[in-house]
Parts: sequence; C-alpha cells; structure tokens
Amino acid sequence: MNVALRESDSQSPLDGDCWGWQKKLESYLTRVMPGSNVAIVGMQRLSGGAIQENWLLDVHIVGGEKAGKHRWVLRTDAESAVDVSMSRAHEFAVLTTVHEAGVEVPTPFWLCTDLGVIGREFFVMQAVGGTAAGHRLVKDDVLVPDRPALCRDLGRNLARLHAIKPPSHTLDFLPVPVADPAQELITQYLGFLDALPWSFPTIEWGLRWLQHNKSAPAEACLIHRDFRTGNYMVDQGRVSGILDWEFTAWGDWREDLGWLTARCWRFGKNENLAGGVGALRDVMAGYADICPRTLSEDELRYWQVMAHVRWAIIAVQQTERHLSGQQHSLELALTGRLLPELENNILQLMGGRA
Amino acid sequence: MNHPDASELLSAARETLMKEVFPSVPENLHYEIRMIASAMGIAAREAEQREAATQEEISLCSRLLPETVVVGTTSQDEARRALARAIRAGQFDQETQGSALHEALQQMVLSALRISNPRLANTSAGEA
Repeated sequence: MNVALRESDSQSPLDGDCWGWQKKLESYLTRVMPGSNVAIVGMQRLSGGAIQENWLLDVHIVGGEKAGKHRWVLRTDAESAVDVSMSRAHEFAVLTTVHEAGVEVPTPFWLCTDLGVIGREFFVMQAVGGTAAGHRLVKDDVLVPDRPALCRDLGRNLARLHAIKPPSHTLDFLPVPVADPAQELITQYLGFLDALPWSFPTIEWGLRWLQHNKSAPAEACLIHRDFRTGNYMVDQGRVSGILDWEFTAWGDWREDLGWLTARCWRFGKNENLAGGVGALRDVMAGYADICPRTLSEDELRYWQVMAHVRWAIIAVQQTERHLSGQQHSLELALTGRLLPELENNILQLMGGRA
Repeated sequence: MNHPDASELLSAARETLMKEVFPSVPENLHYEIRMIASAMGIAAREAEQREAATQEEISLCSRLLPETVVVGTTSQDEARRALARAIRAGQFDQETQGSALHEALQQMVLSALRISNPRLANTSAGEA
C-alpha cells in the first residue's frame, strides 16, 4: 500500500470520481453561483448511454440562493463520443425550451462549453427521482399502480412538446422543418442503407411500402424522436422526467406515437400498446387534455413501420461501429442480432398484423 | 467434422457459464453474463443452421430473380444486393410480385429468427 496515498486520506478523491473532476467542478460551480461555497460530496456514474455520460452529483452548498443539499446530474459526452447526436450545448437549449413549454423534464441549470473545466462540454440539471427501467415498468404494478394515469401523463407531455411550432429562435440550430417529413425520412434512410457495406431486402421493402402508403403531412412541430419506455422516469407511478433529448427535431407528431407504441419498445408486454406500460387510448386521452387530435389505425401502423425501419437501420449502424473497431462492445454486437426481430415486425405490420 | 463440433462446444460452455459461474458472479455483472450467454447461444445455433439457411435464402432469391440469382454460383451477399436493388427499382410493386416477395422475405426472416431468437420464431410461425 502506498503510504503517501494513505496519509492524504482527508484529501482523498471521491470513490466515483474516476476522471478526477471533483475539484474542477467545485470551482466551476462556485463561479456560477457567486457567494456560495460548493462541495461535491458524492459522484457516481449512472448506467446507460454509450454516447453520453451521466453523473449523479451530491452537492453541499453553503451560502447563496441555492444553499443546502442537492442532487444534480452532470451530462457530458462519453469518451468515445460519435458525431451523430447533437452537442451538449444544443441539447441544453432543447431542454430549456421544452421545460419552459411545460414538458416534464429535469430542470436545466448551467451549460459549460469551456473545455478548460473538465475537457468536455457538459451541463448540470436537477436529478429526478424514480426509475426508467423498461423491464420493470411494464411488469411491476407497485411501480405503476395506475397505468391509465401514467399513460395520460405521457400523452399530456407529448402534446405540450408538439405544441412547440417552428420557427423558434432558441432552437435555430435545428435543421429547418421540411414540407413532408415522412418523405424526408424515407430519402434519408435509403441514403443510410446505401452507406452500409451490406444489403437489407426487408428494410428496402419496408421503405418501399412507406413510400407507397404515405399520407398527407401534418403541420411541423417539435418532436422528441426517442420518446419510449426507458427514456422517461417514473416516480410514484407518474412521469417525473423525460430524458434523452439528443434526437429532437422538427417533424410529424405521429412519428413520436409510432415510436412509443412500436412493438420493439414494449419490453415483451405486447398487449400494452403504449410502450408496454398501458393503453394507447389513455395516452391519447391525456394528449387531448392539451390538444385534441386523433390517430387512425392506418396512421399508427404507418408510423410503427417507420419506427421499426429506423430502429433496424440504427441497429445495423451500431453493429458497424463495433465491427469497424470504432467502439468495441458486446452490447453493440448483439444489437445487430435484433435485426431479424425488427424485420419480422416490419413484415407483420405491412401484412396487417403485429 | 471434429467432435464436439462448434455448436456442441458452445452449448456446453454456455451451460457451465449459466449453471456454475453465474450464481457466484456479483450482481453488477449479471447483465454482462447474460449478454455473453446470449451471444454464445446465437453462435451455437448459427454454427448448426447457417449452411441450410444460406442455401434456402439464395434459392428463395433465385425464384424471385431467376435471371440474376443462380443457385450454386451467386453468394448470399450478392443475392441480397440483387434483391434489394430490384425492390428499389420497383420490380415488386405489382400485387402478384409483391406478395411473392413478401412471402419469401417472411421465410428468410423466420430462418434468421430461429438463430437469433428461437422463442420468437416459434410464436411468429404460429401467428403467420
């Protein structure tokens, strides 16, 4: 045992602080909260997220407006960050915008783009209680005692998000809205397929069907694009925070509902259309509290096919990332073997099943 | 053929991993062990079924595109590429060609599911 280390016990780094960020973050937080003395007494990397890292910070503040004990989350790029998702600065702007629109999200506090602090961009937000674990939320009635109430929460949050219409000066970094989002997605996905080293006839067939069954576009609004079980926190049976805003874009509101209800995101609880946690009609009832809208069976099916096609392409791209050595990971490798399941769903939906 | 073959070896290794190793592995590594077991299961089934599934896929493609895909000379990758290209070119837009394609794809996907997720393959076959 190293004696020098033992002697400096009182100054020893926090257990979870594997990058040595504690002191740097304390002085940063003291800077953004003048008149406060900030101590980080706990740091823990939260699980999940190959692209982003989330750190739970236990913070003690003496003096100033925020004096007291807090649990905050620091969100930053993972070491092996890929360039497909938005920057932390943009995600912070999205979070701030939707928070102001009344969407249930962790309250965003500060964005730091100064790479001199921890070497990466990051932002700090409120930690929200509860769990996001899909496998538990779909099964455990103790976690979700009132499924219709949870589903209405989901619907209300979606409707508040979809009420944000372009243009928005706080979101001017987003690609401008297109006249026909479904067409744009089809074209984009065909391009993704062309960039891959292998061919996928079933995904092609799904895209062909999407091309031929396209309905009139809806008015553009802000959509989440990863709104599914696993990406919202549930505390005492209710939505406590919607997470992971890095894919947010202007688009067709029905895309979010197709994604939420797609079979691949029901965690095995297939009879519960809404993300395995409950009924779609309850989601739509909550939605109607904010904005009355209907979704026909054909529209739902269309956007569920779109959801599976998108997930299938992402799965192949993730496999590529593993195989090319960009990010070696058994999890990414296994994602590639989800493909037959996704393709099966595409074919069944096109044939009127699933 | 060596004995035990690849599939038999992987199955035996997987069984030891789950029955003897898993119970004494700390909980924070359970997810990893399950992933390893899952990968070994897929590899074992693939070692067994791959040859037949590949041949079936090429022959299904050949029935759809007799002029481009030839059993015995066309590889699986080439067959898939040809089929994808034909779909994009609109060769299956007509109802008759479309249903034949849909049916063939469903068969290919079921064979792939029997390797990657046999439980689902059984329920899907039941549904279809």
